[in-house]
Amino acid sequence: MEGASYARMPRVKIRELKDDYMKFELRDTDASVANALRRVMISEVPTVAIDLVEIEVNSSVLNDEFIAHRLGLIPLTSERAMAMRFSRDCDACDGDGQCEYCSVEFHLRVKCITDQTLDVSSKDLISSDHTVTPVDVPGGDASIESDGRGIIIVKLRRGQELRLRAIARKGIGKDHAKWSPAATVTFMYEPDIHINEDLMESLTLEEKKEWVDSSPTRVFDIDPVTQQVMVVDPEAYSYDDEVIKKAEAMGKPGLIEITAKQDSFIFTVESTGAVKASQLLLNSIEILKQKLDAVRLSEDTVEADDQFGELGAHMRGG
Amino acid sequence: MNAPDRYERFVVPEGTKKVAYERDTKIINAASFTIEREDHTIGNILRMQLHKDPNVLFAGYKLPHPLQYKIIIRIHTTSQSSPMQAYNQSINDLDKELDTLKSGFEAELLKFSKDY
Amino acid sequence: MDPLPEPVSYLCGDCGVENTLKSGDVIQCRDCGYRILYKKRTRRIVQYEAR
Repeated sequence: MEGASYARMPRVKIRELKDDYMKFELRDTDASVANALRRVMISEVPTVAIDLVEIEVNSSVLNDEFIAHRLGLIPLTSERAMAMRFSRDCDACDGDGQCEYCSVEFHLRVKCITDQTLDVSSKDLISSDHTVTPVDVPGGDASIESDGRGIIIVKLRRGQELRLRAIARKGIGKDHAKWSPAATVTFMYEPDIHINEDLMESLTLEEKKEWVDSSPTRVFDIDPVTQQVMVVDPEAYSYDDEVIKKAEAMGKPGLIEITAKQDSFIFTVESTGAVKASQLLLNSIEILKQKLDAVRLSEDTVEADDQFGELGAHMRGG
Repeated sequence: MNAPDRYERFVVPEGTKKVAYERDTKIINAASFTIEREDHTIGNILRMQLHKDPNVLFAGYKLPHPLQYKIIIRIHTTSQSSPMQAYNQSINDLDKELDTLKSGFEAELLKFSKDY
Repeated sequence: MDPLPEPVSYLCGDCGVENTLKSGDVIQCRDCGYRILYKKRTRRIVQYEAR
């Protein structure tokens, strides 16, 4: 008899949301789920990246494989990635993994003709599919610094030329880091801070200031009006126990009690631009569901013979 | 020169089953499930979800070797249930949990962009 | 095997002028007499994995 469901009901609250950055709170779920989401976001959400490079002419200062490696690392807009097929699974192409359903073709043709150094950047890559192009970092003002010019691939002198054809395919971070859509994904336990007000009263203002300053990050502060110690930014607490050690050193153990809430997490998701940050989380949930589905027991799941199976061998030390 | 190909970490080779299980001959209602080409991502969430089932007496997972890309999940249950049932039930529960998370997040997104 | 390979052109190390040489020719640039000549890049398209 199938019993009641033991599923949890997680809640989400978004704090900050930009195209490539997202901060949100995840409550009422287990650390294993939070970690699984983090792992999937980094290594199993698919994107599109250049995988094969055919070089016709290269008279630049960088050798062929160097340039091929750099091209692979360029992030490409990968909205199509979830719907695309992996090259190895594609039955439409004649085996070379270059058909229109499983890959995107790029061309790069540059030659330096002026005396000024020519910067070959990701903006010079011409795609066969306008939905898959190198990620454009919004330049904003015309600052000559970074951004706005695209990612520089190589610099050419007068007379040097670069001509190549590149094939971009769908892949996951587990295969090669170039396919990872995440720049950083972190989560921390939400801290629960309780100040023992009675003990706190027994401190002089100087002692309070000293104690507040002992924290490497600005978690506490003294209210200028009431001269009370208050919590300014509980999430700045990095679970170093400096304030607790300081309280003990001052002879006031138990002055503060900080615990980590075991089912409350604050996630920070930063994307490379290949996929939007919010879309990255949605895709990771989708991929995690697909993985769970693949692992279900079905009628034809063979019951392996205990003695001769792999587990038997493993248990016997084989 | 001995390194296996990177895709070996997640592509199940021809002929190998993704999941297989072996009952324990000496203990009733105990079985070990071998899942090919998976790692802590699935292992840990399944294990923690199995712990919530009151019919499950023991649930644990391990990677026999970091260079062998598979996990083994061991489940002991009471006679009220069976390891296979507990395993499938926990997968269903996780699926529901992820659905709740997804709809909750999508609703939050709408709310957030509306307030903008 | 090709008994009479097509005349191969080499680049002079000094002036960069193309010199077409046949087997048995003296290895020397036609224009400036420099004796170090470089072979040109192959015409075949080389494939690389972007890894």
